[in-house]
Amino acid sequence: MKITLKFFGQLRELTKCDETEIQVKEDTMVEDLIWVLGERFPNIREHLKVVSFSIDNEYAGKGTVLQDGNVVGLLPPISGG
Amino acid sequence: MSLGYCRPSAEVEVVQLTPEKIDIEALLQGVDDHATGGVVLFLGKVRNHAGGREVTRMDYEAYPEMAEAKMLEVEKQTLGKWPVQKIALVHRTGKLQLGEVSVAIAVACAHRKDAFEACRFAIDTLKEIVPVWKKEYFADGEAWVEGVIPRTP
Repeated sequence: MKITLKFFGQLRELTKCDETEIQVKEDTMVEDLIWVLGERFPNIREHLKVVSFSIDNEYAGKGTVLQDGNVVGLLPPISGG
Repeated sequence: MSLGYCRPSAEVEVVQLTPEKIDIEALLQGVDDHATGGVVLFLGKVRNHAGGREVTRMDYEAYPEMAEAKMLEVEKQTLGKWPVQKIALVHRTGKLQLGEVSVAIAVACAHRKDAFEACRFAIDTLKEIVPVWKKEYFADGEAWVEGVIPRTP
């Protein structure tokens, strides 16, 4: 199945990527993405330790199982205001 | 800036993410209500220093759809804790110069104590849950501001 990844802030800069689609297996959990992303973007491995995830505009726990078509946000620690 | 961005809710008034200069007058008009006796306005501004270094400007980036949803949640949480009559919340994005307003929150209540407390809660909660990132520019470089891991339910 296919999901969309969206990158923000420092992660967007380091990956030189705003958004990309990737194929993942059924029953892939949010936390599995950490490994997948670390392989594809070795330069963000350190940052992935503190990344938060969103699915379809809502924060998602690491144990959440991904569904086909999900839009997953990779959110560095936030600093709004 | 148009504040025609009112959500179809009786309580929640204005939530907006904008690349344009924030219109404070329009924001205050948005919370105008004759049932209120106290309005507290918080403005977050671009400061010329951080961690002992001189800052020259700041960039703000948001996850737009999610940031607006979370700003709405900030309002709902605030309305759930204080007797707020009207609340408006606007966050700026893009390249900001020193002194420019990056975030504005107006809270109108019957009494000032509630308005102060509710406004404080709103800005603190915004910083905990709204996905926005800022980058500081210095005379000799730039750096993403060290943020906080969002508080999730």
